Amino acid sequence: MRNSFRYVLIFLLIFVLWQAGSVALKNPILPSPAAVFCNLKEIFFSKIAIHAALSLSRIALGLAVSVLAGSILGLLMGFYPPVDRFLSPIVYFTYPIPKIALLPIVMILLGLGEASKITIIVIITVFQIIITVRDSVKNIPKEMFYSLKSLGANDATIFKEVILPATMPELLTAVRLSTGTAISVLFFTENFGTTHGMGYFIMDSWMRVNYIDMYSGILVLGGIGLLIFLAVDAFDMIFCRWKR
Amino acid sequence: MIKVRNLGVYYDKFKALSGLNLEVEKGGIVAVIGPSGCGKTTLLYVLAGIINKFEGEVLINDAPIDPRRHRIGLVLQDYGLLPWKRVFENALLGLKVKKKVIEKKDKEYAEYILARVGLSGLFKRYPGELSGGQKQRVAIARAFIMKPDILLLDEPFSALDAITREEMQDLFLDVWKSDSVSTVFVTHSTEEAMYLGKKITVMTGPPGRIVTTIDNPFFGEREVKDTEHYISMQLKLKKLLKGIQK
Ligand SMILES: Nc1ncnc2c1ncn2[C@@H]1O[C@H](COP(=O)(O)OP(=O)(O)OP(=O)(O)O)[C@@H](O)[C@H]1O
Ligand SMILES: [Mg+2]
Repeated sequence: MRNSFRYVLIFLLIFVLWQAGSVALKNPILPSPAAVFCNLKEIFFSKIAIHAALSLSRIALGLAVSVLAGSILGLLMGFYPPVDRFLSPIVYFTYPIPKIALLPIVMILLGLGEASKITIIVIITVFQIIITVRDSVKNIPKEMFYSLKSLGANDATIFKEVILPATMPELLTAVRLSTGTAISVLFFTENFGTTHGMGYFIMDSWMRVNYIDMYSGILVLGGIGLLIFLAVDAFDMIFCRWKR
Repeated sequence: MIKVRNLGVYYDKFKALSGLNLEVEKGGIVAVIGPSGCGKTTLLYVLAGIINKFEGEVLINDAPIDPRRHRIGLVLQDYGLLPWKRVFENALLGLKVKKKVIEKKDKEYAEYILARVGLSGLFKRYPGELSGGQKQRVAIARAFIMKPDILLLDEPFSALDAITREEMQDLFLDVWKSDSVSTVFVTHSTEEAMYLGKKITVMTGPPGRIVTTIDNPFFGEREVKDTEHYISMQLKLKKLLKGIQK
């Protein structure tokens, strides 16, 4: 309860500053928050919802694939040194390549549809997850494994009882960072070969010089980010309670 | 029963144990003392199956040590609890790994042991919410709950204050007596060795090996009657340890 109160308070503060800015500027490029909210109320279900739903599902799917693949690779690299020795050079070489430059190629290979957008999110965020997970596995103190080793536990049990819970907090941090990246990337890719998604909606409003629609879109995009962060926090509350 | 013959262990090139022989009879309890760095922890790691590259022979109930086959109760200096598991889950970890299915009577036995070490009411806590003494109780309870073939303890009470330590020693002995399992108890305190060891083994190193093993008539005696004999034996142990260190 206190938590939601804090959110309300902070949003109020943001809107007060925004209002002040728009009054000071007196330019349609920064409309007042009230005007944007009225517009949002009117067009959300009729115009924006479909774009929002598509963007949210692209981000969620992209992140899910990225977390799944990244965790599996990171866990294996962290726990089995030979796997690390084989894969790290590949990761180190491909991580710094600006993958957004591969967008044309991905689009040619996978078409203009969902697959190429999700793929771009995955190949951009997955490295952060791989490296975070790998390093956090490597940083588990070796004494943490001793109880289980003396019990004769097999690798599967060690993964389940030690490695997964020990790396979970850092994995969630990587997911939070990747969320921001994923939204920016999606915004960019939704400007190509599609007429659906928040990226398209916002840029299209801008082209039409409809600033009120544009700001409505930006608010919704922020809302999508907030939603994902809250979901990750909820996950954190459930699986990392021992940390508090 | 634990039998160690001609045990040698290397950390890379460093020889940590060399030609070490040790025997713990069924239901026996051996206190191992020795100066810091002589290889006590290394010895326990071998007996626990944590170090599995070694020379020589390590037998538990006449079979070569294998943590998958033997039930090894292990209590480490830093407790060895998993911070993401609550007290009750930590206490059941041994059973869970060993037999997968935990029956009602296992849970009841776990509750009984936990209550006996004074942890009733703390079952739902995480290790991070416990004091050092309480954590150590969980670690000891966990070792007993799995009804081990052998019990290994590495300076389990050295991080505790004097009063808690005595309390824990009594408690340990109390539980141990009702379920006498072959035990190796590592300590650096002669008092503790003379209270908790039926036999006392003095170690030296590195490379670690056994200097001597003596029978201890004062096992389990909190109030010693024959003080003269007690003090002379303690002096003898201290001299042995000092002699090693020089
Ligand atoms: N992982 C390791 N790599 C290299 N050398 C090690 C390692 N662990 C221990 N040693 C060395 O092996 C020797 C024995 O170490 P061990 O931990 O068994 O001593 P200990 O008798 O338990 O000492 P303490 O009473 O201080 O706990 C020490 O000299 C130590 O420096
Ligand atoms: Mg030690």
